[in-house]
Amino acid sequence: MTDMVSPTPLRTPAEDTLLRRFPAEKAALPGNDTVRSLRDEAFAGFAAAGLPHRRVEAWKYTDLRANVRAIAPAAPAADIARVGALPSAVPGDNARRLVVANGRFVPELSDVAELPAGVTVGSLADALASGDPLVLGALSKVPQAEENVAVQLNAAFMTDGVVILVADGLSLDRPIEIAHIADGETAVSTHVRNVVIAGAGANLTVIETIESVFRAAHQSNIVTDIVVGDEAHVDHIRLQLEPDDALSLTAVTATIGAKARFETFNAVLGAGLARAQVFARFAGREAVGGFRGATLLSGRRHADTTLVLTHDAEACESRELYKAVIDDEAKSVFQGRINVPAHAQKTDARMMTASLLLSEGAEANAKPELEIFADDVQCGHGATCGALDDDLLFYMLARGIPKAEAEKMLILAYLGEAIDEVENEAVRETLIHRVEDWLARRVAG
Amino acid sequence: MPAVQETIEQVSAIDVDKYKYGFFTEIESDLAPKGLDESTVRFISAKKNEPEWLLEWRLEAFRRWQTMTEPTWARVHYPKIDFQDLYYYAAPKKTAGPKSLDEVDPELLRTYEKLGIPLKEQELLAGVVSDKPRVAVDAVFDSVSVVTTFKKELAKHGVIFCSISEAVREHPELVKKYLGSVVPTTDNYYATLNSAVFSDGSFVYIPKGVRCPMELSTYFRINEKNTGQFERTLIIADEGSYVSYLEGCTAPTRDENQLHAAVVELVALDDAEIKYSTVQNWYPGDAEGKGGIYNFVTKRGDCRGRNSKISWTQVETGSAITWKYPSCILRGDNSRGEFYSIAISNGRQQVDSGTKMIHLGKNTTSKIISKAISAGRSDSTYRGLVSIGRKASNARNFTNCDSLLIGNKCGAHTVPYIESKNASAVVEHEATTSKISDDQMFYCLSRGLDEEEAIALIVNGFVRDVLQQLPMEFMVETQKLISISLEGSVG
Repeated sequence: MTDMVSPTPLRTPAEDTLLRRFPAEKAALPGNDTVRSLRDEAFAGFAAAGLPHRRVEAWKYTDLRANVRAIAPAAPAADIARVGALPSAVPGDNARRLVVANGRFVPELSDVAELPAGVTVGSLADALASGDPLVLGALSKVPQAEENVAVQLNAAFMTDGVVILVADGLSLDRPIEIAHIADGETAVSTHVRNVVIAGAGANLTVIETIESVFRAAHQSNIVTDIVVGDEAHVDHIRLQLEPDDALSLTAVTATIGAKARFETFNAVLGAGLARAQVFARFAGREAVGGFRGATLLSGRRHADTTLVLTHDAEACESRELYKAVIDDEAKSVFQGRINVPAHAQKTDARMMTASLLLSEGAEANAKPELEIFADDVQCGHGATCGALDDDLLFYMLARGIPKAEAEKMLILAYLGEAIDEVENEAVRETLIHRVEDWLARRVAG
Repeated sequence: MPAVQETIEQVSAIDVDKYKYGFFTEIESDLAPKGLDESTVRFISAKKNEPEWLLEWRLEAFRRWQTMTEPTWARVHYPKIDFQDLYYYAAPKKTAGPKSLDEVDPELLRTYEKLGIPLKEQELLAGVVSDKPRVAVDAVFDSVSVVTTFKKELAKHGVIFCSISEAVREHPELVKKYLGSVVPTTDNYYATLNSAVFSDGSFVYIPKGVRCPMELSTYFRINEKNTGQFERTLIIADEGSYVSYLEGCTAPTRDENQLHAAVVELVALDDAEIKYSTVQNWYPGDAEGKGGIYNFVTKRGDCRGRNSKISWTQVETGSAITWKYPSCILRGDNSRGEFYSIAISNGRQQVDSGTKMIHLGKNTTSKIISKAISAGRSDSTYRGLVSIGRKASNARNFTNCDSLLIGNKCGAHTVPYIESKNASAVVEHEATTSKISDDQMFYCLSRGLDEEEAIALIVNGFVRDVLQQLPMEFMVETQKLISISLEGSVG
């Protein structure tokens, strides 16, 4: 369903701030005339609708209007020494690490020396300033991304990010890690845009991490646009490790070429209010896509995963698997939608979401949608929601395993189904450690 | 499945145009002036000699309705309805309390005969079909209940089965207590409109501990041109009672779209069970989407008592637009809600239907089985909500929605909402969309069935889980209805 906008009678202080900030800041934002009009257009979309609220169908469970009380000031330049001292969140991934601190690409902290021939790494600000048509053409050209308020706000305010171009047929043996770091003792807001374009037959892994130097209520809005060329293979993994009271709006848009393969995995381990969106479009036939994620929630955190997948070509195959573990009074949301227009015959799509509730106050909401106009398809979705299986627990307790340990094993096994699909071993290890840490804290707390 | 030329020919030969129930009965009728304002509401209320409290209730709803806007969230598209261009009350004349079938306009009886309704209780009582279960029928023609059969027999068991206007006169205490208690007048646009202008409908009360001795049934028919039918059904199953209720609907072929905005309220008290089945084959409009019924219905059951059970079974083959979500509020501990649905759309029909299961009490269980079949250029959407409240410990839900697409000009959509606020609750949902597989077709064809028969066979198998929930005598009828609805759909 498209965002239905009910009349918005009063503006919230957060909306007021955004409406004031854009005209004041836009002159200083990077970009040529084309980019400026793109920003104006995107901002007009926000200005007309305001922050989405529960009466807007796509934001039914995540009411930004009610939950975003104030907008933090735009992030100043980060302290390079502090940011540089932060170790990689994914140790042992052997990745080329690119650092984006407070919304700006920092080449001096990034591993950009001796790039293989055919790989270009640059700053988005530069690409916007020169109006690089290749980069501009890749900005959220996926159904429903451009109309999305979070993406619109990103397009209006985006300051910088990285641009990665990989030439046709090139296979990168080292992953590329984009480390998004917020630096500030008090809350700052950032708008980052990354563009990854993999040429035909190219092969690469992109790891994104989102973290901060200080545990402040940062507000980040990060959009990564990925173009997967024909027969290319792109593995995308994102670890969201924001502080517990942060606001995190993220989006991945993907355009997937013929016979290409695209995998994305998103781990939501932080933020007080997180909305992780994926917009993907199969543009060429016989492509394969894997969309997976794991969310761990405790306290009063709220995490929303929203997926809009459009099978726009014949004979593509997609697999979606999203798992959430919800403790205390936390709230999880999963919205997944698969669109299959009439020409996308032979589509094979399977979507699964599961929520594990660990406490009395926990809450899970799921809305898995199918919208199908082609008849020769195999589409299905499943959704489950429940607590740990008493029989399984009992079996383990009866064998002398302490309750906390038994629960931990069951939760790890439950998340394992999604995590095991991550191909990169270092990332997988990191994920498992993070889950174990979380479980240890849960038992201790 | 690619459409072969032969099938395409069959489609044009037998299409939705050939609506079996498309006859129009010439009966003099009594119409309220066209349009809607307070005076229309007063007119209807006066026509029915209603007490002051009911008029006030209607007027309050009407005032509320004027402040509301039409919902647009459903996946249906239709030109805006001009609510001033409708008749809100149409009654066949000579309805002054028919005491027996002899007093009913023979034209009307012939209409029902054509529809195949077992209205003539004499025939049934004559013993010719004594082994068949008997069915008591309340027939609603346009807006008014014309005849209710088997009244005396039911009265022996203390069962009250009459038109709602009669109930207002004879049993005001029951009506006052329960009317609007499940679907409040403020509920939604169409329910509020219905509260203001409802003309008639059925009323059922099953006393404590009584198992209703026969199936109860209502037959709705929209006959008059440009009318809206706004009936209101209220069923109360008192402690430990059981009732099975069936409603069936038809309308003649008309070019204009006719509006049907009914409200059905069910109340099940401790240990009571209500089984509500609907076979809906209103006129779906012609192949170009001209005409047909707009079916905007609010149906809700309240499992108010402990161990109560409400089960909805629906077979939706008609209507140009269906907007209908029979729901269960599982308030009482251990109560159970069920929803079984077959929705078949062909031609240009648009169906947006589903259910809501609201789990409030402990150990409540619900089951949803929805089978949608889309053919032609139709669109079918399952939209459902399963909500588990904080206090609904050990609640359990199972949902299964399957869609079958026949042809590549139709659409099938699934929009389930799952909201759980209790960790001990278990919610499962699964949905699939597919076509009839080539293997299945080949198997049938190689055994000598032709394509039409094969499709009918496979579809009947596809919907079997739901068919089994229908009362015996309607199961057969429904199987036929399914074959008719799909006749000539693309193979």
